Amino acid sequence: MAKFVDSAHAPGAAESSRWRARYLLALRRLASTPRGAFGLVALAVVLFAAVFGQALAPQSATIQNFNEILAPPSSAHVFGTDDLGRDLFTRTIYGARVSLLVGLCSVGLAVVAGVPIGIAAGYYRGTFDEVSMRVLDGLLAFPALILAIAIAAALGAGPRNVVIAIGIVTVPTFARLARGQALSLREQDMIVAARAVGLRDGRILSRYVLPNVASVLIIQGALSTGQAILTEAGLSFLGLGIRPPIPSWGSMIEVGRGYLEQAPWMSVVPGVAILLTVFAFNFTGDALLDALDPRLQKRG
Amino acid sequence: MTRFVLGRLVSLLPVLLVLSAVTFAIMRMIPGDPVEIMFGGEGDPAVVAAARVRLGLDRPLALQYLFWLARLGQGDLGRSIRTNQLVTQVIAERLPVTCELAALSVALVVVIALPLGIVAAIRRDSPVDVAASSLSLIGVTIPSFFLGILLIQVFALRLHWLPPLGYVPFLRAPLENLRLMILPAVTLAAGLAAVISRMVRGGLLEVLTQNYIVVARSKGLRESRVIRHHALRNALIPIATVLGLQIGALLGNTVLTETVFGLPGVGRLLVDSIFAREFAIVQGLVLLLAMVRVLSSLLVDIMYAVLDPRISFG
Repeated sequence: MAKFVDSAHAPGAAESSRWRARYLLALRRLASTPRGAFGLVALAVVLFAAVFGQALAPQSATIQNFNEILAPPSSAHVFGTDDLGRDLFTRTIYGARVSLLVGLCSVGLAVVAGVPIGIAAGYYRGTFDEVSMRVLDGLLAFPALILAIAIAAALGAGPRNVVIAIGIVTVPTFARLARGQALSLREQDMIVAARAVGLRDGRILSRYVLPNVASVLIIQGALSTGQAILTEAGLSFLGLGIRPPIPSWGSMIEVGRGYLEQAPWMSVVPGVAILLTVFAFNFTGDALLDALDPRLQKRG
Repeated sequence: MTRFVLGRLVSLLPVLLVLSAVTFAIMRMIPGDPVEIMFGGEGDPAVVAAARVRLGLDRPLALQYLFWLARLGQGDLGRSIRTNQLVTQVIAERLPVTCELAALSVALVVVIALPLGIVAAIRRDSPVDVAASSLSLIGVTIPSFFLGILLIQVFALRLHWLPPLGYVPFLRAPLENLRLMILPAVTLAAGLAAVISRMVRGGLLEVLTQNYIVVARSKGLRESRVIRHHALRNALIPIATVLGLQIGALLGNTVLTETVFGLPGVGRLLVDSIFAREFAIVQGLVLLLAMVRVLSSLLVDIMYAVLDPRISFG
């Protein structure tokens, strides 16, 4: 018992380095499978494009060049140009930033809003659990894209509103996940012991419950980010998300739809970019599932 | 059985209540006064005020919600601002297109995904299995609107096998209707087919390791009979639930698919109504789509109980 109290009150450096070691190990295991390796490499490429895109991009993403309208891919324009003569390679790189920002921010929003609700609901049970879960069930009853469309329509287009819309749609996923974890954790010996020792709830939740939920949340985070990017592309394609001239892959496809015969590259290039990015997140998520938690073996 | 169904229906009530409240709340988040919008912002102040009273917009929000709910209970979704048509009528006109699209897609899923999953499981790690897995990976990931555009480019614009866009009612020209619906149905089916074929493969592989399969084989049954009668039946039960859950994704994707192919269904109506600021229609559609989703998962629950004798109708 004395030993337990020690580690509970002085988690210190030993514990945090143990966590780091665990994640480093997981990362190494992640890169050792073909899918995981592909996911990580693709993710690195997209991240690189998003962060350093401005420096890398050969041309401006918004300056129009009417001498080179709908130019096919060539050495001057690797991916060709669009209906306003803008370089498609540049716009695709800029699109990576928009996609990633929206994807990560909306999932971040869902985590910040959903995880505390879920943990509290699962840990305390009772009325709060009942009420919050009923509300989440109500949100889950909507087809996700329809709810996102409705919220985006009510708030209006633009990056911030898209993040809010996708964030709200994603909240139930994280709240339910966190609740399930907290529910099973609260009966485990370490939590019962921590409570018996007299630790405050806040401390138990932050030091014992949250870290044990973290790996599951990271996996779901990767998968949800891919999903969020798909939803953003869908909203922008419908004209309800990010509007031109901001280069978003979804709206680029929408514009390209008008030039399917003359300039198929206008819709194909951003489409492939979406595909690769979502692949990257899904593969990384799947591989993380295997790497972080050996108990959760994937089927099939 | 009746008690089970009734119990499930009762448990849906809070979900429906939240669902309607969320829809109501979202529609109230829209900036601008609905009455001002109705009069285009230039109505006589007295007339505007009268309209506000008539529509009950001067009452507290909670009361407005209850009145709205009461009207909803009577099937009254309001009228279109532009044409003064009943919202229910506007929606009913577009519904057949979406129903046909969804039905064709589900049929495609059953015809393609089921055999693909079965073959992949039986010939595990064969080229067929690898190809099926890769296809399903792409199917899960590819945005439906992008797939639709690719299909148009290949099959309509390059090969000229099918017409690219448009719609003809089935009853007027059945053959032409089907030619126009093939690509949209494939587009809509792809994601679901990918999920289902993966599930069939996984489920079948798991069932095939069970003792009763070993028994069936050692009895000397032919392999096809073992698969069909002993393995598949048990493997398909959990897939029924997934199908129910995926209906939501299917409904959401109809919006994108109908937009890509220019089909006049409810999905396209939703987007058009948003841009036309026809919020009564938007509200009705959002409610309808959510209800369909809720009811389909109820149906799956009931089906599940019927299919699986281990589940009691408690």
